Parts: sequence; structure tokens; C-alpha cells
Amino acid sequence: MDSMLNAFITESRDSLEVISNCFLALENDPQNANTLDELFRSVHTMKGSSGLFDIVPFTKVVHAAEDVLDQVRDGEVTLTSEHIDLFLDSMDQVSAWLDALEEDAELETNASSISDQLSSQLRAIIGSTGAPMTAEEDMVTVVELTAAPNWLMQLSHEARIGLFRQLQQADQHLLVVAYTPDESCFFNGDDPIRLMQLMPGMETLVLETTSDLPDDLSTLDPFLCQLKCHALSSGDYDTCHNHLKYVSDQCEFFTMDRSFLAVPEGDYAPTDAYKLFIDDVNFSAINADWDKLSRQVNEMASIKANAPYQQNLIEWLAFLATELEPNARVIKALLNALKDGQFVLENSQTVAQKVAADQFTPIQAAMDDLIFAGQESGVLETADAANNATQSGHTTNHVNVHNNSLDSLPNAPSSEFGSDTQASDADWNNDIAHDMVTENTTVQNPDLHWADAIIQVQSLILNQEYPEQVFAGKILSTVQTIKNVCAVLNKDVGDIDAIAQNAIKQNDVSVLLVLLDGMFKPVLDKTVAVCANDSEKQKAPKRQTNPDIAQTLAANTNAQEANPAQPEKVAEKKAKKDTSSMQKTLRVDQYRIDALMDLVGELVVAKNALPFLAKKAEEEFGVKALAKEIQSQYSVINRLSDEMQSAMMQVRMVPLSTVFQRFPRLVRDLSRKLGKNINLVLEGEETEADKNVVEELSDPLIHLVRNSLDHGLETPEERVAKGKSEQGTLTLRAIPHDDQVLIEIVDDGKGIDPDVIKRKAYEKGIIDEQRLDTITDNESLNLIFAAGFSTAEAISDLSGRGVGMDVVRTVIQEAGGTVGIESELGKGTTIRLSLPLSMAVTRIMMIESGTQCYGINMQSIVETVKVPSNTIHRIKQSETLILRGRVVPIFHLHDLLQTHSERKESDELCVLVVMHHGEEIGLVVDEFHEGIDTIQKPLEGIMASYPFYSGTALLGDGRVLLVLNTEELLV
Amino acid sequence: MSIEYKKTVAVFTDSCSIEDAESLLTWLIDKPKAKVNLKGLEHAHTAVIQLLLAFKPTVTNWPQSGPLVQLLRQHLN
Repeated sequence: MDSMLNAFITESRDSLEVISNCFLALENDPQNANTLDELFRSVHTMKGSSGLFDIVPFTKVVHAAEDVLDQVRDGEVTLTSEHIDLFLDSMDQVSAWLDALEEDAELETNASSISDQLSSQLRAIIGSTGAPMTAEEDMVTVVELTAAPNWLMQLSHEARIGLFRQLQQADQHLLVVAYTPDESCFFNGDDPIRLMQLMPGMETLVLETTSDLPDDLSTLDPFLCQLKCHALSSGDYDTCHNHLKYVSDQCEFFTMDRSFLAVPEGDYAPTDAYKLFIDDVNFSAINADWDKLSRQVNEMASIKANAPYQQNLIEWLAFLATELEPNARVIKALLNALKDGQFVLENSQTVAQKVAADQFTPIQAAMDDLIFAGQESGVLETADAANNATQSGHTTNHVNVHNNSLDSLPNAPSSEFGSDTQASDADWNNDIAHDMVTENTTVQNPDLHWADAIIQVQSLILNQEYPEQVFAGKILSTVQTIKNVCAVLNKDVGDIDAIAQNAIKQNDVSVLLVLLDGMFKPVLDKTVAVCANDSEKQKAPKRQTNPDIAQTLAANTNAQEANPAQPEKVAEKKAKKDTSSMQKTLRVDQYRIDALMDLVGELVVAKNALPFLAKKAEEEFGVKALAKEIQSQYSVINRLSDEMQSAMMQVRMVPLSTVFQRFPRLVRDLSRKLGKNINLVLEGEETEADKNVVEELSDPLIHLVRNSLDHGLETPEERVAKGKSEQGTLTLRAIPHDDQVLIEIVDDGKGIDPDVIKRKAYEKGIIDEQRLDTITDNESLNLIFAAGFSTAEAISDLSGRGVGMDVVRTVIQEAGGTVGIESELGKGTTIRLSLPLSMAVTRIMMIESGTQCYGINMQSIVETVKVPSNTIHRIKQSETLILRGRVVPIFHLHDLLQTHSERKESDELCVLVVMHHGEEIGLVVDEFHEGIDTIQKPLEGIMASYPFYSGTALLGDGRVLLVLNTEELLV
Repeated sequence: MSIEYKKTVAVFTDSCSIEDAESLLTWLIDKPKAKVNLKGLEHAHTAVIQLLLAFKPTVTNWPQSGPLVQLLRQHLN
């Protein structure tokens, strides 16, 4: 089936679940805005995506539901239980349609009439009469920029004024598109600049490099796209978005008032010529009398003065004043610039920041953090927050609450007009805030709660054990924090720096700790007095000047005094945060996870290079210390990459229940068809394995279950005749076993008769007569996995075509697993699948043969032995080795690979014992090497035709290792 | 070949594709004082433009027409 349709069906099922939950919740609380929003979103998403497919009846119903819900959300309609019934019925229908879509990829023939009925019923709720389906316009709100983006200044004055003039007739807002192409987009055949240039309504394009260019330009990679495109378009959002739909994830859209194009340029020469003009115009601007302003500006424009900056600026003013809705902020900024040559949009940003910072009262934030710190056991975590808080408490101008997500843009000024007054207000606010710092401390002084907490945290930090590299840094940062605290409390820190230096030198913090402890109490007592005095002095005049501020301060201090109540609040907030984060799941495209997985895999391999480096440092350069250092760093990286790998694996793990859950239905249906009474037992469904493995597993499992049902389990009559219980049992069991997952399919049926198998195999020519005599029962059971083998007398429509078991084995082997079978005649059969938990990183063992290194998958290796060469026996052409009483046939790897290299003569042979079709076989190699973790890459091109190599792997030192496929090699 | 490399000047004509990027890079590295003549250039792939932006070679002639005129003048001037 179409993968897109597939995704749609899965998503819609999820949405339906959310929708029905929401409706049930609404039944009790019909006005809940959050539930309504969630409901609307789900329905909206479903409607939107259904439009991609040719399922008009479906879309129609969902669309009707969406329209109704929209009105419900706006409070125009209240949902009753009857309405909800209707909605739920409609959603049931939608769900039924999804099933139909999944099976036949189309809706039933009567869908259209059902849809008409349902949608008109739904629409009846809001009293609208089944409005005809229109191409639904999605109301996308595009964020409006509150200031000119920085890159705009790359355009020359002429370019900007030209653009402005050209656009004057159009909508005052321009579409701003920021397109950051994917670095590797060239490989997809993309040409970002061309794409942008062809965008509808394209007006201007500015390029920006995404990263700093290397100093040495010769290292530049011409095929990596490192540009960011900014465009202004007079087109509308929909057409532009549509034009960029294939890269829409890399694009951001904003709108911008075209007034932002106005930025004066040129050299500013102070002149009195504009003085009168400025006052007049300012007056008009304040009264928003744009007509008058326009006239004044036009008069002024006709006067030529030797001041290019001002003229340039007046030119802009003239343009802006004639706009439909003149942008007062920009005009004001321009007028200010006329006075002093400083374009004020910049200033207003800093003003805004200042004001914002002051309003935030950093000390308050510090308090919250600290109270929090007191509650949490992990005090250390908040230490940094406390550090920041004290620093901002000191400088007051540190916290940016204007959390504008558009990083590249200057921040938005918070208010509309009058940056002059704002600036002075800000300064004044700044003073107040500074006072508040002192004042707040005063109020807190009875216990100096926060200083206490900070100092305690610092002691805790100092008490920790740290590795050598970070020790000095930790000391310095705590000392800085202590200094900050003391600065706020007007306390002399004394020679704390010297003490810190000593502590670093001697690697001993005890002196510092004693000092911290000793200076602590006196500090508090003294500062209480100091601060109280200070604040008395300062408070009084301020109160007189501005009662409002005094009130706010009082309110603030009251709030501080009411502190005991605050911890609960904070805790509550925290708890809320926790629950909301708990519910979050992330649906990620598997491709992304795979990409991440590949990277982690590469990292694992790259890390393998470090031991080589260490060896090189020691052997080639003779720097033993460095080698040791590298080794120790390697162990850290090794640990991290291992953790990362396992975390990554965790992400990809899915429970086997995803495969198992389809069996109850399958078994029920089949057993009815076959007239058998079968009880299916599922065990260990919660066992997890890599998604790929689980997916690979599903087909073979179906084959195996069918086989058991068809051939294994008997009919009730047969079972009773044999003295067994009437009901047969089929058990599906998953067991995690080291880094493998073991899956058993156990039936208590009639079992497999080895003699029958042998005979069949002989009849089909799978084994010859000689083999027929020597084959053991166990070996003969494995024959059922041979290609073209079938024992069923009649081919049923379930199984018995002789492809099943063969395919099962191939699939499982390709996934890196093994299949085993055990059976007792009359008692039952057990089939065991053993699969790796993950397929990404494989462990291989390196071996050497004829000066060339090869890899062999660790899974196929049974053991490695070194045996004296005289223990090898010759039986006719073949060599054998007796290993612990078993005869193991021996092959030489050179012969198998026909490398014609000189056979290394030695008294001892290295024998690698591998499992091949259930038999042990010895491979003679020249040398064993270590085992390594690798990502195996399949062979490509000409090498792909050599099946005895299963792939290649990259070694840490850059060599390419060929990995042998023992199955093929030993055929 | 839409870029002709002369002694110190690279002459661009018609449309430059991404295949031109590598040779241009090599040439720009070899000739630090290189100049480019863009007179005949109508379209250049992003990769080529990116190189011009990075090396900022002296431009002897600007493109005559097309959307690249403004873009290149704006960034290479």
C-alpha cells in the first residue's frame, strides 16, 4: 500500500482515539477549553491530511465535524450529550472507513450517501445547511516581525528605496522568508538560490553564510551548502509556501511592515537647519496627524541642505507618512535620528531590554530558585542558577525576559512610542530596581535566607570530589559567587582570592571552607544593620516622589514576607511541569532515528581509532605518558559511546507484542477453518527488541504458526484417540537471552517423524542414498529447512508449499539470527528462533590468513583453539580434528578463498570452530586477532557478486576489513 | 564548459552548474588575486555563487541581465 496512505491511517487512528477520549471528557465538562482545543486540533489534522487522498466522503464528514467544533470552541454552541452521541457515531463511521481504506485502499460504494447524511446531521448542530465543500483555506497565522531583520541592512539605500517605491501600491506587509537549506541539499539536486528566485512575488534576496568560513579557504567543501537565504516577497503566504513545499521544513515565514525598509544611511553632519522642523514634525507625529506630517516633510524635502544623512532620512519620512497606516514607531525612530544621527530602533531595543530586565526583578527569581534549592535534595543542580541570580542581582541588567524566538532579529520594543521618555524611565526604573535589591534583602534580613542558601550551596560544591582538570575552575566559580553575594551585602571580601589561589595550588579546600563558615555569621549580622540603614535613607525620598512605585514596592515586599506560602507554589509548579512532561511522547520519523543510529555506529567505529593512536604514540614516538593519557580518554569516550549506543537502542526498542498481538485473531480464524480446538498462549510479549528485528520477525512467525496449526496440532478426535486433551496448545514465547532474543513456538501436536522427513528428502533429491543411511534424527529434522521441502500430503491453502521453512530460515539468517528445531514424535514440536536484539552494530572477530585480515561474525564462531599440527587426521581427501571426542572436519581458509598464498608452516594450527548448518566445522587460519564492534556495510559493485563476503567494515586505523560469510564459504 | 579559465580571469557564460563548482574552487585557490568576468552569466548554481561569496574575487564585468545582477552586485561589491 501507498506509504503515505499508511501513515495517514495510523495517524488518523491515533487522532480518533484522542477524539473519542476528548468527547468523553467533554460529556462531564463541556466548556473545558483545553479539551476543546485538543479535540479541534485532532479533527483539523485529520481533515487536513485526508484531503491528500481521494476520499471525499471521509473528508466531508470530518470537515463538518471541524466546522461545528470551531463554533463550539468559540462558545457559540454548547455541546449536549446528544451532540456527542452524534459525533461519536460519526467517528465510528470514520474508523470503519479507515479499516476499509487499509484493506482496499478505497471507501465502500455507499460511503458517499452515509457521508451526506452524517455531515448534514453534524452541520444541523450549528444550523448551517451542508455547505458545499470548498477548497479549504487553512488560516495560517504568519508571525509578524516587530523590527527589521538585521540582514536587511545588507541592501543598499537605493535598493531599499527602490523596493519600497515599487511596492507602494501593494499590501503594506511583505512576506519574509528565511530558507536555511539542508547542508547536503546539493546532493538532492536542489539549487536553493534558483528556487528562491523563482518564488512568486520575489522582490529581493539576501544571502548569508550559515557558519564562519574557514580561515583556509582551500578546505572549503564546495558541495556543502552553507548559505542561508533571506527573501522579501510581495506574494502571499499560500503561494510562496506552496512554491517551497518540498523544503518547507527548512523555511520560516514572517510578515513585515515595509516601513522597516526605512533605515537612514550616509554621513551624519550636525546642523541646526532641521531644529524647527523637528519640533513641528514631532508634534504632528505625537498627534498622529500624518497628513500634516506628510506636508511638513514634503516642504522640507524640497530644501537642499548639505547633510546627506538627514536628506536620506527625510526621503524615507516622506514615503512613510503617505502609508495607509504609517508605522509610528519607525517614524518616531527616524525623527529621533534626525536629532542626533542615531537611528533609534536600535536604542529602543536596549530600552526594552532594560525595562524588561528591571520588571523582572532578578532577586525575586533568585529567591524562587533558592527556595527551590532548599526543597530539593539535589541542591547542586541549582547552584548555577543561584550564581546567575546573584550576578544579575548585582548588575540588574542581565535578564532578558523578552524571549523572542527570532534570535537573529533585534528585540521588539515593548511599547509604542516616545523612546525618549522611555529611556529616562528606564534609567529611573533602574535606580528603583537597584533600591529594590537592597530593600528586598532588608526584608529578608531576619534570616538572610538567600545568602544563607547560596553560601551553603557553595560549601557543598567545594566539598565535592572533582577531577583534576576541573578543580581550579570549580574553586574560581564558587569564589566568584561568594564575591557577588558579598558585593550585594556590601561586605568586604578581603583576601579571598589569595586563599582561593592557595587552595588551587595545594589542592585543598579546607582553608576556604573554614573561611566560608567563619565569615558567614558575622556577615549576616553586620549587613542587617548596614542594609537597614541604607534603605531607610533611600526609601524615604523615593516614596515621596512616586507613591505608585512605593505601593508596588510594598506589594512586592509583602509578597516576600508571605514567603512561607511560596515553596508550595513552586512545588506545585514543578509537579505540574513533571506531569506535563510525562505525557509527552514524540513521534519521530524512523529515518531520523536511523540516521542518528548510523552516526552513533560511526562514533563507535571512530572511537576504535584511539587505541591505535595510543599504540602509535607509544611505539612510534615513544611517548608513553601520552599513550596512557589517550588510553584513559579512550575509556571515557568508550563508556560514553557505549551508553549512547544503548540509549539509542532503547529508543528503537519495541515490545514483541506488536508482532504477537496479531496471532490471537489468526489462530482463532485458522483453528475454526481447520476444525481444531487450539489454545494460544503468549508469553513474554513485553520482551523488547530492535524495531527492524521485530519487523523482520513477523513474516517468519506467521509461517511457523501456520505450520504448527496445519501440520503440528491434531484435530480433537485424533487427540482424544491418542489420549491427549481435546484442546491443543500453541505457545509463543519470547525470552530475552543476553544480547539475543529467543522466540519459541511450541505445540503439543503430533511432532515430526524423522523417518518420514528422511524419506521425503531422499525422494526429492535433497539428500543422496549414502546420506540417507548416515543421517541422524536431529540432522534430519533440520532438513525441513532445506529449499523445496514439503511433507504435507496435500497442499492446503495454509501451508505446505515447501517454501515456508526455507524462507523462514533465510529471513532469520539475514537478520543475523538462527533457527533450531526439536521434536518428539507424538509429543510436539518446538521451533526456536534466536535473533540479535539489534542489527546495527555487529561484533566481529578479526582473523589473519595469508597476510590479509578478515572478519568473521562473532555469532557464528563456536570457539577458537590452537592445536598441534600432528593432531590433524586425514580421512581420504579431507582433514579432520578430534576435538573433545568429536570429529570436526577441517578446512583451510587459503584453500577456500584460493588466495594461493604460502601456507604458513608451524607446529601449531589456529583453528576457528564455526557452526555451519548445525555442524561444527574447523577453519584453519594463520592468526587470531581481537574482536571489534563494527557497522557492516554491504558490498557494492563488482564485489557484490562474491557471496562469500557478507560485507565490509571500517577499522579504527582506516583499513577496510572484508567480513566472511561462513555459510556461503563452506557450501 | 561555461567557465573559461584564462590566466587571471575566469570568464563565466550562460549557465553554471554545480559541476563547475569544483574546478572553480581549485582555480580560486590557485589564483588568490583572481578576477572574474560575469558578463555573460545568466544563471549560476548556488554552489558556484557560494564560492564567489566566500572568495570575493574582483569582478571585472557584471552580469547584463537576469535576477543575478542585483544579488551578485549586492554581495560582491
